[in-house]
Amino acid sequence: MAHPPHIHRYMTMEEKGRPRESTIKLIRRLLSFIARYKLRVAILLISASLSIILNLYAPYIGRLLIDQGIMAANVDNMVRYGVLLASIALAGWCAGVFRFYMLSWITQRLLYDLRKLMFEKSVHLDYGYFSSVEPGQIISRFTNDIDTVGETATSGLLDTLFNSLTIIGAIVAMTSINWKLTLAAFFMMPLIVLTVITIAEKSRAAYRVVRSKVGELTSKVEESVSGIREAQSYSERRRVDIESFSRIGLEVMQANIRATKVIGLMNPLMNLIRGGAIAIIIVYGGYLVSTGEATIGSLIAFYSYLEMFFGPVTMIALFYNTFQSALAAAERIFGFIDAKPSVVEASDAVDIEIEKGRISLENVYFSYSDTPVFEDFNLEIKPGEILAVVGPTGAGKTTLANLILRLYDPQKGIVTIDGVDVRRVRIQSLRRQTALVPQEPILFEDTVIGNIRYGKQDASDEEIAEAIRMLGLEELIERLPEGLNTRVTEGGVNLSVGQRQLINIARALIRNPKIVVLDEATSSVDPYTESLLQRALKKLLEGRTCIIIAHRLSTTFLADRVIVLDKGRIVEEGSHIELLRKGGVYAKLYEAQLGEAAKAIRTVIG
Amino acid sequence: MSRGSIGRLFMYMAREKRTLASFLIVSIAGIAAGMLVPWVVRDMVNYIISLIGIGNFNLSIMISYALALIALLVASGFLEFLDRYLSELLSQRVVFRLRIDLYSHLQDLSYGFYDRIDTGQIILRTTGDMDTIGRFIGFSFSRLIHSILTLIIAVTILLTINVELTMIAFIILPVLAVAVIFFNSKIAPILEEQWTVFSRFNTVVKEYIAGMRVVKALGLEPIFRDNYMDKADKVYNLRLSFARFASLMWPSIGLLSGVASVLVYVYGGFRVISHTLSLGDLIAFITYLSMLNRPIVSFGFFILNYKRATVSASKIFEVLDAEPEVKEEFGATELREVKGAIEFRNVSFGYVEGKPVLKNISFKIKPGEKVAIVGGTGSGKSTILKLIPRFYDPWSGQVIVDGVDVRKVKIASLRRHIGIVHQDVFIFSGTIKDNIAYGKPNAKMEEIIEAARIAGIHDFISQLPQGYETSVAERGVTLSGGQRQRIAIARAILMNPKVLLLDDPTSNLDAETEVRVVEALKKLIEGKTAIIVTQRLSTLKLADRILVLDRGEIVEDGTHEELLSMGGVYTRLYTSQFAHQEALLVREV
Repeated sequence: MAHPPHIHRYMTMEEKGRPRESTIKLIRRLLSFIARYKLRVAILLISASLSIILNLYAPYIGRLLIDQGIMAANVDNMVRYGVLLASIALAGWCAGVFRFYMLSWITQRLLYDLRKLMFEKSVHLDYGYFSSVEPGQIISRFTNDIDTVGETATSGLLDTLFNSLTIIGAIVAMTSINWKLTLAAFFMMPLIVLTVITIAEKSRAAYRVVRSKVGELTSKVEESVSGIREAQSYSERRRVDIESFSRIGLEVMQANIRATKVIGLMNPLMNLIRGGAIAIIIVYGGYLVSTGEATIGSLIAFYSYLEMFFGPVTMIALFYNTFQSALAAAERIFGFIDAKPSVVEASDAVDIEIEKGRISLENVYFSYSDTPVFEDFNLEIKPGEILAVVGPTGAGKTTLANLILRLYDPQKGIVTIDGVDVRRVRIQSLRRQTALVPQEPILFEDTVIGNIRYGKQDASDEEIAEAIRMLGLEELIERLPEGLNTRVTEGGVNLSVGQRQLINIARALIRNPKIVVLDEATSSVDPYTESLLQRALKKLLEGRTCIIIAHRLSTTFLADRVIVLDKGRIVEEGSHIELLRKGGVYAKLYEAQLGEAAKAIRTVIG
Repeated sequence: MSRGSIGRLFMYMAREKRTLASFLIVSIAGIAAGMLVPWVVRDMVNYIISLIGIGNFNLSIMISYALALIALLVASGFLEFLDRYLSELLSQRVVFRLRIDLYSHLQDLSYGFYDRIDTGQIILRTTGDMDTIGRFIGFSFSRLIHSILTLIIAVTILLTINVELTMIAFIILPVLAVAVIFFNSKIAPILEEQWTVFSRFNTVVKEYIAGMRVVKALGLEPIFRDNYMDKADKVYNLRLSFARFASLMWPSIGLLSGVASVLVYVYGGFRVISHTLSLGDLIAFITYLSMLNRPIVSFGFFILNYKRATVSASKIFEVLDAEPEVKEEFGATELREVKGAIEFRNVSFGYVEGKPVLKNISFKIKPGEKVAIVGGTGSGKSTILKLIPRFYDPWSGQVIVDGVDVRKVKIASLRRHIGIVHQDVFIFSGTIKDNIAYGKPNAKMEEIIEAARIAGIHDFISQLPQGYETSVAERGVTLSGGQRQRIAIARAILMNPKVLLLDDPTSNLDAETEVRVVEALKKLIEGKTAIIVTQRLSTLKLADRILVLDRGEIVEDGTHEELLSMGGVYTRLYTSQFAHQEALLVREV
């Protein structure tokens, strides 16, 4: 299927990587989402602060236990501080449980709310948006991107906050124990910052390579599997494909190993710095203890705080790496949420009851990009008329159908149904009375009967059976492995294209619509079945306005009127016979398709 | 089967003997280096305490302690780096081999397999499932080895320092073990359910987005909203119940180890006061005890990831174990020169047991003959084509090319002589040149241009800015249906096969384009045997002879004129396209 030209613009926009919007803005927006869960956020902040404070408090008590209990040989103090330490552990457990649970709750709730919000957005967005972006990209926003945002961006953001608090707390605690020692230890600080930044930057670049290689691998597999029927027809391909897959596989492996090397450097380097800091405090601290300026307990406590400082620093550095890509995911989600629909329901929209089904397009202008599909286009379809639209690819046939169904709104001019501007009508009320059968039939993972029921949810089994009988499709249904209860696998691949099209027709007609659009609805159905179907349709379409878009001119016989579209203009118009007599574009197309027989028919008509 | 899958995964690992062995050595060395640190700290603390009150501070002793410490930290850091590198290398090599095996096997699986499986599932196996396995080997498995080694070494050291203290600390251990096992038994089923619910959620999203035109046109949003929100609710609830257990589990491990160290502190404190233990020993003991926290937590992780890896591995091996239904017979011969005679002898075949699509079909096609197959939807037309290159094997009967049963020859040699043009042409990403040379990757440029010229697409390609080097598919120019068909025709021309199978190649084209494609097809099949499945009269004109298929049986066979004069099924099919027009004519004339 040909895509509208502006698709490429959207595709190039989808480059993953750094977010375009400013990081601060994105973070602020994410936080504003989280801020909605006030109570939970408050509990989280309190429990997290508490657990941080308790964590920082424990070494202090440990110091008292050593200095005033063990070293002072004071059993009472020892037991007292022991009990205190145990109580701290218990309180820390309580705070920890709340902290973890609230963090998960907020994350999951955010995911849930984002999912809901995105669905509601998808309801308001018009078809034009969806036809301009690759479906796979929108799907990944609903699945991968949301999870990335929830798990990396939010919990990561909060964790970073808590890690920073721990770092600050540890520094404060160390300073309060002994500022000289602290100063001596933090003589290394610039080195830490430098290491963290360098490794974070390098690993981000390395993981970007990994991601792009994995992307290559995925597309290779995707293409190989989708094209396997083609590939197996050519015996040479096996070797070529395996070779190129091995090459990509090897590159993925090398990229991964390289990234591991970069990230793996973090610990040895940090260890080196840590070792330096520890050595300084031990030598200097040992000296202070020996002179009685510091106690052995305080030295050990100091050592604990130093360890408490290094853990969070490493974690923040590692987090930075994934945070940027998480923000990019957040940006894609917000991009979807902020997308402006071009078909909008007016606030004072009213329900429509289509009685006649007269459709008119007046001075319609429509374009996907710069070149318009329609310029000042006019068309009047009478109530109950069957109109066939023919013309070459790109003439605007499907666009016309989308305009009539209000899947698109024209940029200029109006579309009316029974004299009412469709823009003044409640969209759902219009949808209830219209139906579309697309060229590429769409089936859902359900049974055949379930798929037909999508057209009318409360249709009884009898009603559906009756519809199938009226359409003359009984025999076709019987031929399916389990008749109406045959399960349709993903995309309907277990049915032939023709069968899929017929199920789509049944789905559309069971709605009892006033207006029907058949967009190449029978292109893959064999001529015989098609002719039977047409006879049935002739009867079923009575009293409905119907637009038939056709490549195959054999389908136009149903029509009361045929229009030939070319480059957005009506170049011929009239009944089938009139157009054949006229000997214009239509007659030529007809001859090309039906060959000798058409000539014969034309001679008869004269 | 699940145990078997992990076992087979280990077989893949066992092939990486050198990496595995170096990983083990480095691990042990790294742990030992890490374990020495508290030991040095202990000696140092004891030394400092010995100084209290004396004030005889010896800088050089302190500096040598400090240097020893730095050296140990640097060594353990470096070993940790090597350890990570080697475990990543191990996991990447296993994943690489598995991927290649899987991909090669996918190339050999026959159509029947692809009829039953979704593309998405296969992609998941080569990406998501492989990642799970990679993480399992590179992280969970290597952490497990670490945990075991750490436990053994740490417990030995603890016992060396003080047996009594060790006993006291390990009062807690059974509680800890019970806690970990309890949480795991609760979490594992939740995780498994989460997995299925989430994949269902993904399916709903996929259907909803991919079917958007129908969703919007028929106003199906409310139905999808119910379905979508139902799955989203389930995902939410399952993840919260997981969170409930997880948020109890991690702090609990912390609590238990905290309590253990308090017990050690207090009891050890008594011993220090009574001078039966040094403070340095006590502190070293507590440090070693805290080293056990991580291994215990990673045991918990291991069990979770083990479950995940089992699921992923069994999915991968399920594909690797799938036998291609079409297999080359032992001793199959090379099919060299082919004249192009085709025969079906009493062939029956179907896709579902008990539902034959072709019923006892027999026909003969002479070399160079052009035969069209017509018939109703689902009558088995395309199925006939699929049996000739052995995409499927018949249930019974024989498919014979040049007098040889196709099952007796090498599959690759058979397919080399057969060219196929499908209804939907698959355009691969790459350049137009690559796409034409798809079946003959080393074709010369002149050959490619010649093929494109015959297919009537050369002029179009030449006017593109980058000509034959223009990219197509995903990131490149969009080709129309007619252009795609002509690329496919050029592809087939380049192969110059003796037999051509055309599967309704013009059904998706508009009338004008169809004329041009039929022109190209005509050139393609010149001098070749051709079988053309079609519903279009224009394509029918290419054939010398027509077979009419009705519900899996050949009901008519002859030239267009013969069949028309018979007044049977063909006449009905043929005239059905005009019947209504005739009716109109009668009305009009």
